[in-house]
Amino acid sequence: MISLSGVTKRYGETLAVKALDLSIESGEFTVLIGPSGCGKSTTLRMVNRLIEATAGKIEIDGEDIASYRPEELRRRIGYAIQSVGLFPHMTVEKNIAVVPTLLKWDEARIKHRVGELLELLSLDPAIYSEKYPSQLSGGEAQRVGVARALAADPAILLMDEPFGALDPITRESLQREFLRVQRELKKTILFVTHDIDEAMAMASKIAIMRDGSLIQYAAPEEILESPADRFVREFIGADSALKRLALLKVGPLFKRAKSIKEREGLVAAKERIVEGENLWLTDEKGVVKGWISPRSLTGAEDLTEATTSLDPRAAGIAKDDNLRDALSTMVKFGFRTAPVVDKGGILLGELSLSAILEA
Amino acid sequence: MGNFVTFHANRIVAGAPFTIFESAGTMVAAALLLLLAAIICASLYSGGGKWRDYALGALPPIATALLIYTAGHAARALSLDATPIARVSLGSGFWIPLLLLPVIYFDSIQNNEGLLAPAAAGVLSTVAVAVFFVYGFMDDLSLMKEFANRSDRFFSELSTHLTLSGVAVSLAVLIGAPLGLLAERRERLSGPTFFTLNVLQTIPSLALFSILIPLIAALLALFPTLKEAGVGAIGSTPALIALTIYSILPVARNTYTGLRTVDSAIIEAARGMGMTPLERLLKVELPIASPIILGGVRIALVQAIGLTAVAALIGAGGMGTFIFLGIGQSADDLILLGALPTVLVALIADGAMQGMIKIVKPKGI
Ligand SMILES: Nc1ncnc2c1ncn2[C@@H]1O[C@H](COP(=O)(O)OP(=O)(O)OP(=O)(O)O)[C@@H](O)[C@H]1O
Ligand SMILES: [Mg+2]
Repeated sequence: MISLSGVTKRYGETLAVKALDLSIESGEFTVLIGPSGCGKSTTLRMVNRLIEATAGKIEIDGEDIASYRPEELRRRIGYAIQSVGLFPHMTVEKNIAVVPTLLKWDEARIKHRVGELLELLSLDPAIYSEKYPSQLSGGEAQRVGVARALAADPAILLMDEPFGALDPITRESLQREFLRVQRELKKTILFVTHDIDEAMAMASKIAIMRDGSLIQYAAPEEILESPADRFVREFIGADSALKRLALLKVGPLFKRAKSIKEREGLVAAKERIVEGENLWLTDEKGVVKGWISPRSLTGAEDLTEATTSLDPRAAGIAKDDNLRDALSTMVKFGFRTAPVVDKGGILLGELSLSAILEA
Repeated sequence: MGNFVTFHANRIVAGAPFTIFESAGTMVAAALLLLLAAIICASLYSGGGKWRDYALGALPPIATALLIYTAGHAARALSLDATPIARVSLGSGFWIPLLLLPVIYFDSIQNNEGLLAPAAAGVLSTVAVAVFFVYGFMDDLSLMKEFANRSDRFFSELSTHLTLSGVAVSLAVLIGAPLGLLAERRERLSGPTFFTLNVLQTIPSLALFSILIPLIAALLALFPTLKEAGVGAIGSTPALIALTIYSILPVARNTYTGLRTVDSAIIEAARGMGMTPLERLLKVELPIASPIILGGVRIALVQAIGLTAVAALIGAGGMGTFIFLGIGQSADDLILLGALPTVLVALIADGAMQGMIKIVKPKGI
């Protein structure tokens, strides 16, 4: 647990951080967000004492960080920054090994740890261990930067816009991957960004700052539902409703669906269909092939004629998709009700537009 | 090649110029001229691809060796029926190709891919030239006669010269590198530090030597024990001090610049990982800055080797001894006996430092 109480940083006349109180539970992924110059980086860097606070107290697990030697403190806290700062004269392996080496781990343990971390961040050790930073792409370099921050298995990770310099596609894949890593490792993370979408996607708690002060500190859903003031409302943007949908999963909202197999025939379909609802056509294994509406059934000669076919891989929705993506799929295919399928395209149920609107 | 060599009846009188044909004979002269013509054609001709690269990489060293041999041959031919006090010195027809050939050679090495043929030609020619000198092919040249008269002195002065430059640069590294580091760490100090070093650098060497003599004399008067320890107001002490002063600037400046080029993100990462300032310096900053710092040592070394020649004026010895002796006696070849090895040593030191920088430079930078 990290707790900041009354933390202030003054540069001459300017107060970069003003009497900040913030308490971060262990295992929490806290995102610091706010406009440029509001004091996010300053706050972050006071936690590992790259900057000394002018006033106030910072404690980690109840111990005042001022009681440690700064170097000793920093070796216990992972640190990753936007410009990465890999050491150009060291291989990827040596870069990741920096903190373990400072902590005098034995060689075999370091080697094992480096391999483990490269795998964790989806970098093949056989390919990347011996490369130099100049031979890496921006995304690869940042993965190595994150691996280096994780090297000595610190309980706390400080990250200052780590994905800020990457192109949107690389950024998104790194975000997703880092979330997977975090689910596995359960670190206490303090993460700075000024991208609200990144904050919503990653955070378990968001701290919104302005002019050196904390404006709101809450879970993403809560910030979207009840922004503290106008500033927060404007900051999260006009599409806050969509952002909220992005935080909710399809899982709890979909319900059972009626389906019919091809060989059961037209008569069975007519018996099973209910006015105002669709019937999903599946093959023997249950893979969705198309849908049948009450209207298409009237006057049709056989089942095939009544069916509008669909490809479950494109038009199907997965259980752990978020509602924004589900809505996007439904708009794209013109569905009021969309099939929820598993990886193989087998029908699990259906999600209706009204269920999303009520969420 | 109008004036290939000059024939003097004795060491002091003005000489008569001889062309390469007159002095070296038709066969040798024609061979050398053909080779030079081939090199000139190759360097002017832009096509030819690989063959041109071979010609410009391999022929200049061979031509240089042949040129030197031809000079020795010419001197022998002219000396045959002359008195023992007659002298044969080298003329512009020798010096101009001797200066141009290395330029063509090194230019070709830098711009072309294949290094095997030029390197082989370079090594072979160097060996050949060494053989010419050791086995007496060159002995009839005035330059070699000056050497023969002073061969013991030559080697002792050469060693004095190398020691003076080497010690001065070592001291300069010990002083200049920490100074550069300090200036980088305390930015406020960098202005005054480099202002002072720049001013010192602009003092003419002769003036600096003469300022130091009375200063050291005064110091010796105050502390007689220094005198007993072998410190003198003239000779190697002021020379060493002056040479060290001149060598500090390149070392300090390059240390400062080298450390400054380290990206701020790298410094921040090093601090954030928990490196102490000393660990950061030794593991991160110095390795990254090392090529630039060594570049400063290289400049200091080449400069010191040249400046040491002047130190002979205040009795410090070194190759300058022959230069000033030669000036006093109007004996050009004695001047050359001091100047040529100085240039050669400076070139070798330069090449060696460049090689070392290539080897020491960390991979990945
Ligand atoms: N070394 C310094 N000297 C003086 N003022 C500083 C210094 N470092 C930061 N500041 C000021 O402190 C304030 C907060 O800076 P900080 O770097 O924490 O902002 P930030 O929220 O991280 O901004 P950004 O999103 O642009 O990175 C700014 O107004 C900045 O100008
Ligand atoms: Mg910042």
